[in-house]
Amino acid sequence: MSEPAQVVFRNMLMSALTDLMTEYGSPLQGEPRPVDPAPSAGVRVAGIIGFTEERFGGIVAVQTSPEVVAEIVPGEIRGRIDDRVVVDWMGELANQLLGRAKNKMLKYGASFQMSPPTTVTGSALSVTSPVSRTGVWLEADTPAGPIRIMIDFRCEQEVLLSESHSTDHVAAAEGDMMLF
Amino acid sequence: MSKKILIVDDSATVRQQVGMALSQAGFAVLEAVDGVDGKEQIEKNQDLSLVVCDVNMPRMNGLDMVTQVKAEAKHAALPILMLTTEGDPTLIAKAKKAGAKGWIVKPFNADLLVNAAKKLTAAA
Repeated sequence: MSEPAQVVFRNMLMSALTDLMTEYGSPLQGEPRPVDPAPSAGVRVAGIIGFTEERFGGIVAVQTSPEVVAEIVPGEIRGRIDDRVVVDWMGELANQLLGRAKNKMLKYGASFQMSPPTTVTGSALSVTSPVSRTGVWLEADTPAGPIRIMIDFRCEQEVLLSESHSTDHVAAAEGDMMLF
Repeated sequence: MSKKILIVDDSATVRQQVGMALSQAGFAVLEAVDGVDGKEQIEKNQDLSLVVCDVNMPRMNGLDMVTQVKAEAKHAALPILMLTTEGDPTLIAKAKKAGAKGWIVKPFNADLLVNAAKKLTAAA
């Protein structure tokens, strides 16, 4: 069954978010829900990362509070958290989230390139799509507080993707190690 | 004397996380922030036993760094282990062809990383 690429991308990204938050010990509580992209009420930090392939591209932003970020740093880093770590880790989280989504999309025959992430932080933070104004915001709850994802998916023509059952499209799983 | 490992990653937190795991296992650790810096550190430190390298980085990505480093015969024996969010078999094959000795998909298990580092530095 074929589905529009933006639907597949959104589903794979949300699946990746569920996996990633569980991996870092802060599992999502309930299903992500659409929200209005209003400026944040307090200090927020956002990791922003781009993606592109021949048929589509876009931007993903992950926005949350520094308190939530502090809960999902790797165990080795806990107890050493300062503003620099929060900002850096937010970018790495965006990178790992999109990387997981990319790995999941390989079975749909889509392999995009990723930009290095960047991070912004501030009060009343508002991240919006600069060009298409088609960004969709989804919010999910974690034990430490909510986390928001902006998906700005762009394609000039509708792209349909269908899942392949070929083993040629299977990505290495997170945590896998191969020595050559 | 401790074997020396270079960590190449644009995330300071990942460098710190990897560095702690390797330091606790007895390795000496150096850091580089991208592929360009990584290449420079490899030239400056001829006694490296291993390089742990990310793929997606600004200025020069990890695959290009491996290709350029391995193009020089003097670095033929230097093992390079890729540590990345990427799991694309095409990229893994490309890294292997360029001369990388292994691939770990983030998030990583510290014990797994240390075991890989011990295996890859055994001959150094």
